[in-house]
Amino acid sequence: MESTRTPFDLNQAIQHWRDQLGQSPALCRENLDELESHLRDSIANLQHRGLSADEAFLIAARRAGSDAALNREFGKINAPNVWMDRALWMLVGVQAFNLLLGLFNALANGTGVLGIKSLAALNFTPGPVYAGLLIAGTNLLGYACALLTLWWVLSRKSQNISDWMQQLSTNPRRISITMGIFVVMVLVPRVAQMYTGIIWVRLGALSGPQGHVIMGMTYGMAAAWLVESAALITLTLLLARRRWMTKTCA
Amino acid sequence: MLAKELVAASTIPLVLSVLTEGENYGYALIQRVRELSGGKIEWTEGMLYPVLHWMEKEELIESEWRESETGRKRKYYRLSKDGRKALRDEKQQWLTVHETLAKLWNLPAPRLT
Repeated sequence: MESTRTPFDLNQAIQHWRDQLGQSPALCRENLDELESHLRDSIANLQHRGLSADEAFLIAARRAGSDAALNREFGKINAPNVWMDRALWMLVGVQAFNLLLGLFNALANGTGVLGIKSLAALNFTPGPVYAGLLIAGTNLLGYACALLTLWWVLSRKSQNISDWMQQLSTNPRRISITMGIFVVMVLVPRVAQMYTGIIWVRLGALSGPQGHVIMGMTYGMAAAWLVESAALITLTLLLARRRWMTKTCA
Repeated sequence: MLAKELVAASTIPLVLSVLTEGENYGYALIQRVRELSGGKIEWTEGMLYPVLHWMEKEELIESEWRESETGRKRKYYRLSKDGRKALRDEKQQWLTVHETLAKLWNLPAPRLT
């Protein structure tokens, strides 16, 4: 009788098993190496006793323990890695939120007279109280929009994110590309926001000592922002590299 | 089959004791314990490794990656000086429990060698 089953590829099965375990921050590269070595010894022994490759693989993997159990036990000895993983996601979260906030603020600010805030600033509103309310309102709206978008992505698209992360974590090239896109996405809105801020102050055409103070503050804030963004991005990239590429043991 | 708690408590003395026979790697350690216990001590195999790493951090054992006879790399563990000392303490404690239970059950006292 002809077999309809696809031939079993032992190395591929082992690689898949390893990749699956490697998703967790609890296991570093050396742990995975050692477990793989164990699995191969176990499979060889079972095959020696007359089992086929796929039978041996299934039994050896089962004896090694479930992903959940291994993650839990290795997590205890690799606690720093687990916490660094949490820190990484916090950083990503902060920056995703900043990114969205930047986008919505940019929409509200506009670049010139179109934006609501610019209208307020250019005295198209009846008075300072209205201008203040308008600014507060648009800022809060920006926060609300950013939060709602983040909420929507996390509640509705989490499956897509998980699938994507799984593909990502086994492909170093894809990780590098994602990191690159991440840097651009975080930096561009920040720089744009900074730039509109500067234009805005310039449009006001303030001169004299007060004008200089306001210009100085704007540039100073812009510089601090840039340094802060660079520091956050660098830290995120370092943690991401450690998490997905080098998988260093703590 | 041993109770889960007893398996957990006996892992370290078992590892230390097997390593007095000479250096060894994880899979062979598990096989040795299975063989000596007649299959009654059954570890979830992957769970041994976090214990080994903890023991290494506590400097009870030392490890080294080396190529095995099959050409694959394996991590070999051996007993350290602290490990030998820890084993002496462990042995004393396990024998105390054993002796006490043996007396209560009117069994012959264990040999203390």
